[in-house]
Amino acid sequence: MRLFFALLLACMPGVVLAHAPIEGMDSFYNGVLHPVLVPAHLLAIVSAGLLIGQQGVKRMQVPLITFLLVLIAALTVTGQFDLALPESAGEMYLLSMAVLCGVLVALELELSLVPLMTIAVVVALLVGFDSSQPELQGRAKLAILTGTGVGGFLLMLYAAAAAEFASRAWQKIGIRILGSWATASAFIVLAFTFASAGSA
Amino acid sequence: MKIRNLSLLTLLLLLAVTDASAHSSEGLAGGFLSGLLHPVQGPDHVIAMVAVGLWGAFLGRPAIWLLPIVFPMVMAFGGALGVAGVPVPGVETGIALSAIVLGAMVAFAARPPIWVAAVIVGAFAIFHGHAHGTELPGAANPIAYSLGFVIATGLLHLCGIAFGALAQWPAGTVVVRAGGGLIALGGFAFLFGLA
Repeated sequence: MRLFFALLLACMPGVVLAHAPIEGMDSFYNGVLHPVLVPAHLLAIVSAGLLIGQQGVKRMQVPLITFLLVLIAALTVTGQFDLALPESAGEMYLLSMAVLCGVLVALELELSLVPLMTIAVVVALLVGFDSSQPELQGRAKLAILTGTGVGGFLLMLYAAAAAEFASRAWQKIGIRILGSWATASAFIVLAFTFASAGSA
Repeated sequence: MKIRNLSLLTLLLLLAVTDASAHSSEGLAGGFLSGLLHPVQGPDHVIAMVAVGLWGAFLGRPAIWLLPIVFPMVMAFGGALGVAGVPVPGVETGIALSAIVLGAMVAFAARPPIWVAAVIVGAFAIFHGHAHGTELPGAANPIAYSLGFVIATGLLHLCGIAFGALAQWPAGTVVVRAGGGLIALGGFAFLFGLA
């Protein structure tokens, strides 16, 4: 009887994944979509990208390159050693960054290079360490992490480009409104996270 | 007999196993959609949000962009009170009053200083945020839900701004002010339970 159940259990495993991929897509494209489909990553990257893009084409270059390099480093480390942030902590830190960047976008503040680079480094580290894929091995893991790097950087680049291209008054207002939306969404979920932790 | 029943039950439970996912795409889509639909499904929310955009457009710059930026940020504060379970008295009354006051501001072509307009809009944003926030803990994906209702709120402001843009023509001003009057009447209908 025990052998029967052992065999039955072996035949019935359900795959448990930290971030469910889309069935039918290969690992690389799932990785590309990962930062888009995990809302905390999306909010943090887009709001940081808008903030960096608002500073103009000259001042956005170094933070963007920094973001790319740190993201590659973080993904390499998490892929090699399966280092990962606890899921709730990663989400909380990413949402905190989204609130901070969203407020700065809404205020349309001019920032120097140091705070911009700090934001780029922190967001890249958080995204990298919150994208670990311990359930995958070998080429599949390499492909999904490479995809996450490509997707994360493209998202940051598009957000920064959108903010930089916004030259007319109404376009700049649109970017500031996007910042306020990111702040509002992230702030409410942060409050929910704290309220849940407090009641637990 | 009992052991056989237990075995059968175990077998049935195993057959019902599904994948466990921390971030399921169904939850993401469902959460976003329910958040997107929440403000739209409440006509009292809809008319008040349209009134914010309408008043912003009617007041011109900088109100046209200040009000849609202030509103979601203060609404987030109200939403935080909602998810934290902090009671705000008279939420539904506050939402109905927001339609009455904001509609009346447009109807009577009120042009207070910009900070007064921001304070009025911000005060009502707390009631709207609280109403949305109390729904958040039950959402399939809280972040997607909050993103959905913030975007829906912003798009309703945009509808008001687009309608309010008619105010640049004399005949359009009459239409916009009439729209404000209708919103205020709608607010009275919600306040007295007629709608």
